[in-house]
Amino acid sequence: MTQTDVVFHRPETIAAALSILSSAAPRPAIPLAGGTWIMRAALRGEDTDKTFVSLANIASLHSIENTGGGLTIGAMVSHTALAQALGADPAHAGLRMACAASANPAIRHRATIGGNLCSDGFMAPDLVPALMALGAMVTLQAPSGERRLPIADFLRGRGARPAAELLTHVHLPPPRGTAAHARALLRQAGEYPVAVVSVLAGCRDDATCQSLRIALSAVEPAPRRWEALENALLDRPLDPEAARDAAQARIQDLQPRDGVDASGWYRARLLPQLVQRAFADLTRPTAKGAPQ
Amino acid sequence: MTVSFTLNGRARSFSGDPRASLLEVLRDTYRLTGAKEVCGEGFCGACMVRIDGHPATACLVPMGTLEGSDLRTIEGIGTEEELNPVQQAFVDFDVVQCGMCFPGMVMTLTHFMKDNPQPTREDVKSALTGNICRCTGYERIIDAVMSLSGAAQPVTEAQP
Repeated sequence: MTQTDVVFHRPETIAAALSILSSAAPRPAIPLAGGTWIMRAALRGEDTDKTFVSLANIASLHSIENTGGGLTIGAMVSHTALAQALGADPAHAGLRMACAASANPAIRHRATIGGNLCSDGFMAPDLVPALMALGAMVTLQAPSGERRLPIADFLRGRGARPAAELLTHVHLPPPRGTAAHARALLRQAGEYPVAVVSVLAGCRDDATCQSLRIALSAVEPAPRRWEALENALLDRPLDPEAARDAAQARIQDLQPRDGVDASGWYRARLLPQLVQRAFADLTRPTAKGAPQ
Repeated sequence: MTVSFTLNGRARSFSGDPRASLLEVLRDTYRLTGAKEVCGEGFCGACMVRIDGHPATACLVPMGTLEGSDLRTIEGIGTEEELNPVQQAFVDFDVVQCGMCFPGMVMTLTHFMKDNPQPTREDVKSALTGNICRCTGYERIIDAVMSLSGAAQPVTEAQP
């Protein structure tokens, strides 16, 4: 590294960050949020000689705003800050739990919602399935303009994103329904979960399920919705045992991954129990109203 | 690029690679070796320091993000004459075994006790989810912390 070779930028606007990310430079430039993923690149055997573009000084990425009954969350909001900002609405219970239980206290204070979504290769995020269950959208900004898309679409294209693109905000629709987030750990705490189930359910007055989203994390290489299970449980009353049995019957839908923490078969075996646990949480206060 | 910050109450500036981790710089540049390099992943808590009052794993913090920050390490929270209350409780309860985890434990628990002066054992266990003791000496660590619960003197720090 020479004296004039800048390897760390601290832009104060999104436009300035995009300009640095899109400029030709001797080495690739990457956005830096909380750093808890990027700072471990060497342990993953990745190239570490990249230019860091810290997003910490961009004020608009730190805000949480009410927008038309929903929430717009800046990409730099930490897990802890989001857990504290989410109110007692039952639709936000799953995301709140995900933010308050992920990793450990020091990491939750630094790790960001944007980083959780953008860390391609991190297989056990907590926030991502909770956001999928909520039907969240993300805004991506590039020099050519901005686009907004559902989380599932974002994840599908995540491995091939242009270098000069920033995930700037996450949008939650107005809260409707009741959410739950169930996670299994090998120890009791402080590590990545081996399986996560996040659910948002909306029920009719007769207690049957009018709308349902079920998202998984840590089971396959990337988070996903489990549509077959959603369809099986729709229009039926929320019943933890029935949900468990329906999950067991559809476990072949999934392609669970082997990892150093747990084998694929083990993740699959845990899942029906986690589905049951999540549905038991949903039925504690009766879920009312349907998610959008 | 120079990064200016306060380290244990003294103004410092760093002009090495801003992508270097705070942990590397504490140990190699400032010779503050209380923060240990163990997992390098933010799991074990052996490198816990405080940044602007909040515990952080120094292994995951790039120097370039620290402009204007107030940093405090285990070397900066007590003196030999006057240990901080968590340190003193660790001595009194004979907590320290191999010595790898306890600086991080002290950093985490000092912050925790300031916000939670009367915790339950379960609260302490939750607070310690990011600090691993490889000697598995957890119960005595928790005993030591519980001895401070509701203490007449709140957990504060000597300023060396």
